[in-house]
Parts: sequence; structure tokens; C-alpha cells
Amino acid sequence: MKTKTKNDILLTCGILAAALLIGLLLRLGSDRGVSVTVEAGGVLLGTYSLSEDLEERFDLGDGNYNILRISEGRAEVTEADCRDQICVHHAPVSAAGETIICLPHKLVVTVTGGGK
Amino acid sequence: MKTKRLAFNAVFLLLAMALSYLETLIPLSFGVPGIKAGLPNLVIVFLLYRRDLKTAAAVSLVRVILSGILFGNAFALLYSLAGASLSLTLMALLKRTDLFSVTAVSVTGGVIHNLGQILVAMLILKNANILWYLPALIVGGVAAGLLIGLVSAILIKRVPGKVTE
Repeated sequence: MKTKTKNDILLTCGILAAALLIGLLLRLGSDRGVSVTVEAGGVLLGTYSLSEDLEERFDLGDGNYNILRISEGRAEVTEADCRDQICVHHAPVSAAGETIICLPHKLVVTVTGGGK
Repeated sequence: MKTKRLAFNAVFLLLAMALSYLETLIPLSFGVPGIKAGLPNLVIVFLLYRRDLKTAAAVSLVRVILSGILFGNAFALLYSLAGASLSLTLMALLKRTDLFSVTAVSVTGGVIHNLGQILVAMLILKNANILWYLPALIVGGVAAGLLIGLVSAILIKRVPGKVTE
């Protein structure tokens, strides 16, 4: 029983350490975002600079839409008519590689860096 | 005692479905999509320990399909299916080693569940950047697995011996 508890703690700490490591590597391996790309179902809808504030509406057919807003160098989805509203609740993104995904609409907002 | 078995399985399935539904009523938002407590896994972990892998797998499969149709959408169903099957496979393997307690088995299940979902999401969206969610989803999986594991451990202790027969 005792050794099991020890194993449990080791395993859990190992998993958490792995999460931390992956998070660190992702952060370190990316730079500040320069622009955002918007794709729906793998089709590029547009690229927008993070340095200019803007609000853009994407109509995806069947009355589906997502509204993207860029302000203070950060991008967020402010409005969408999707069922789960996950993209709307998502925290604003600004680091290269970060994404906001609207699964029901297959819409992906990706922050891209300057170097690549 | 085929009938008894059938009735028992149905009751467990119903329990898992009810927990599934309960979960849709409690929206959790941590800035990252897909964080859930995984309440139906209570039933699955219990079955894994007090019945057998076969029953746990059957109940899990039917639960995922039914609740996907009732409370979710086609995509959610795919993610759940990948997550649930991977997670149960690993939990069964880990249980067999007899090195860990129920809680750690459940923690692993929670983490693997999220890994499975992220893999399917990457395939469907053809976008590797979803990996950004990985750390948060791993931590979420640990938290959910811990909760489910601790409760399951109590349940398993309170209901000694195999259920039915």
C-alpha cells in the first residue's frame, strides 16, 4: 500500500513536470506574434497585422459567422454563432504559434511570428 | 444470469449517461477549450475495478456514442471516442501492472483522454498549433483524474467484491 502511494505521487509529479516542460519549450521556441491568419476548413481567409486595431466579420455560409478583433497587439474572437462559444470565451492570443479554434465552424485563428 | 447482467449493465450505462448530461449543465471555462471533470469516468473506473474491462469498454463506448448524439455534435463524438478508448486502454494496462492505486490509474486516464482528443483535433483541423493547448490540457487531465480517482477509490472500497454473480 505504501509503495503504491509513493508510485502514485511519482507518476503524477512526472506527468506535471512533462506538462511544464512542454509549456516552457513552446514559449521559448516562439517569439512575439506579428500577424494573425484566419483559416476555415484549411482555406486561408486572410492575414492581419497585430499592430493595427481592427474588427473583421467572417461569413462562412449557412449564416455562420465569427468576428475577429485585434486590439493592443492581441487577437480575440468577440462574437460567433457557434453552438459551444468556446472561441468567444478563449483568452486573447498574441504569441507566435498560439491559436483560437472554433471547432463547429472549423475556423482557426493562428498568430504567426515575423521570422518565419 | 444473463438477464441480471443485462440489467446491471443498463443501470451503469444510465448512470454514466446521467453524469454526462450533468456535465453539460456545468460549463467550465479556463480560457482553454475542452476542460471537463469527466464525471462519466467514475462509472468506467468503477466497472474496471469491480467488473471487467469488457463491461467497462462496452459501457464507455455506448455512453460516448449516445451522449455524443444527444448532447454534442459529430466532432465532439470523434474526440470523445478517441479520448475514451485511449484512456481506457492505458488505465487497464496500468491497473494490470499493480504498481499504482486507483487514483493514479484515473489520473493517467484523464491525461491520456486529453492527449487522444488533441491528436484527433490535430488530424481534423490539420493544424499542429493545437499543441499549445497541451500543457493546460495535461494539467486539466491530472486535476480531473485526481477528482475522479479519489471518489472512485471510495466507491470501490465501499462496494467490495465483484458486482453481480
